[in-house]
Amino acid sequence: MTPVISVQNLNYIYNVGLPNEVRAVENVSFDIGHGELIGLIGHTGSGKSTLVQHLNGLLKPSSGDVLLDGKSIFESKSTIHEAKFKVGLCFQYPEYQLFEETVEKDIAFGPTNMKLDKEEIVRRVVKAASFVGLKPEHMKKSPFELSGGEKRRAAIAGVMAMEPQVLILDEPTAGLDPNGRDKILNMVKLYRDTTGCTVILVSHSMEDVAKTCDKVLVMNKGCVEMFGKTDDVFCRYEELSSMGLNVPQVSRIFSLLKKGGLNVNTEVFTVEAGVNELLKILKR
Amino acid sequence: MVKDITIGQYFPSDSIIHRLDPRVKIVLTLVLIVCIFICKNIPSLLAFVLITALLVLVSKVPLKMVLKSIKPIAIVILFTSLLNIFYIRGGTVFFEWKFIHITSKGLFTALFMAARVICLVVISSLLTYTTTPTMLTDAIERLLSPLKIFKIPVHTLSMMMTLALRFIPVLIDEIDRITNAQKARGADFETGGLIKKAQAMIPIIVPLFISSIKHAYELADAMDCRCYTDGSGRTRMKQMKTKASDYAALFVSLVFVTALILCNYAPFITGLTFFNTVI
Repeated sequence: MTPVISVQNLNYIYNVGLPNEVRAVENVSFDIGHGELIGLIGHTGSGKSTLVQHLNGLLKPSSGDVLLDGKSIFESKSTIHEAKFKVGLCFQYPEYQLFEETVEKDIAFGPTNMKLDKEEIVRRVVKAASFVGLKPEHMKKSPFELSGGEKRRAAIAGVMAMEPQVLILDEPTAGLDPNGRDKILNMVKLYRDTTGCTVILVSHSMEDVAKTCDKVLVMNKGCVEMFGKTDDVFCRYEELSSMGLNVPQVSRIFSLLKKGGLNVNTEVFTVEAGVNELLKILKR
Repeated sequence: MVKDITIGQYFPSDSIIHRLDPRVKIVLTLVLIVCIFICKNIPSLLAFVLITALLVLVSKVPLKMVLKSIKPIAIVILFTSLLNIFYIRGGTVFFEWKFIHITSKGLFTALFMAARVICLVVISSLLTYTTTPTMLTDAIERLLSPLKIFKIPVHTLSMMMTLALRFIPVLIDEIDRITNAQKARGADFETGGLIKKAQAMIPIIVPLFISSIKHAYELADAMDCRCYTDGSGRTRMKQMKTKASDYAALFVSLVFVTALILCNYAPFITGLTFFNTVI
């Protein structure tokens, strides 16, 4: 089966020829399959946001290509425009994109740009809004009257309403309280499970990624360092911490327990797994 | 689109012009701008254009960036030049057809106008390319400090100017970010007529206004938290010193200005056919 997104030898250089030239993405290649939920992690400035902007054609690579369903998205102007709808990208702090008079109109902005007919737009807006947990009474309000978490969810709904094949969320939990974080992460997981769409979650929180994702892609200084199953990647904590990334707190506790002489399995990445592991030991 | 804005942009380098005292630079920029309008004959205009080119060369600012500063006004220059060429009458007539007259006077006026505006923009953008915004506002504050006698709050004014300049890159970043977010939702800023293009800006302008107002409030709070009061009487981290090179620059400019004035106003020179006044 062809991967839904295939990145091939991608390079991107900012400020070419100026003294402050930066190689933001260097020779990156990877494939993402249908229906996968991928965590993209990396230190600030590791090039994750730059990489992600290539996937929907916002940035044109200095060299290399991005294939969507086997076809290059940079073939022509119209393929670049179409890629925006097939790969929905939701930026960091998406609440800054809200501008319409009502939440309803704002969510409809994407579908309207797709030139869909009225009934289809309404259907998509209602579906996306209920997905992110916005109530009908929110829909007629101005987006600026919503609370921080609600604004964030309204903005995400605006991208979801385009019903993209691939949904990319850049740091969707940044600046939210634990309750808001969990709400969004559960929503992301549910979205993948119910629609079968591919989701890429960009984050620097290991906890978030460990909780939600099947596979993890680790970026460091513009290169892909690791790409594999969540468990396999988080096993390599020494390498991860040398890149300035923290493994989940639970994993650190378990590796310290092991160092202290307790015979535990150190491959624990979520709190639930940690609880089970401890219960097992207590029963022994 | 947004990246064409060159006001307040600084190009880091280490040239003679970068190292000049910013106060001297501002004064000399003003002097040169006045000089552009003194030039009334071809030789002095040519000399002025040469000096401008020389300044660009010495400043080590890439030609590409200098050209970028002219780009936004290129259409205006072209349009007014054409108007001048077609409508001004006088001197030798080269071409005549209905209401269009191409005359030597029209051509010269167009040439002078274009050269003057281009030099003006290049020289003033050279000032911002070679001086950091903080240095610039510091220098302006110093130059304006005599106005304190008239109870004008020079420090507050320069603080406002610093903040405004400081926020230009922030706003440019913000515009970029919002534009990208809306493009990711399929917004189209390129096709369509004027009205459609203007309407397409609404999704950028509304969020930009809101975040600007938010920035202003946050900044005011942050300044309050650090007990900001009018900073008159404060000492500075970077002292400005006028060095030998600054005096040299002043001297060279003085010679240049004197020569220009002589070329345009001294009868024993302007009387020569070579310096025949055209405007």
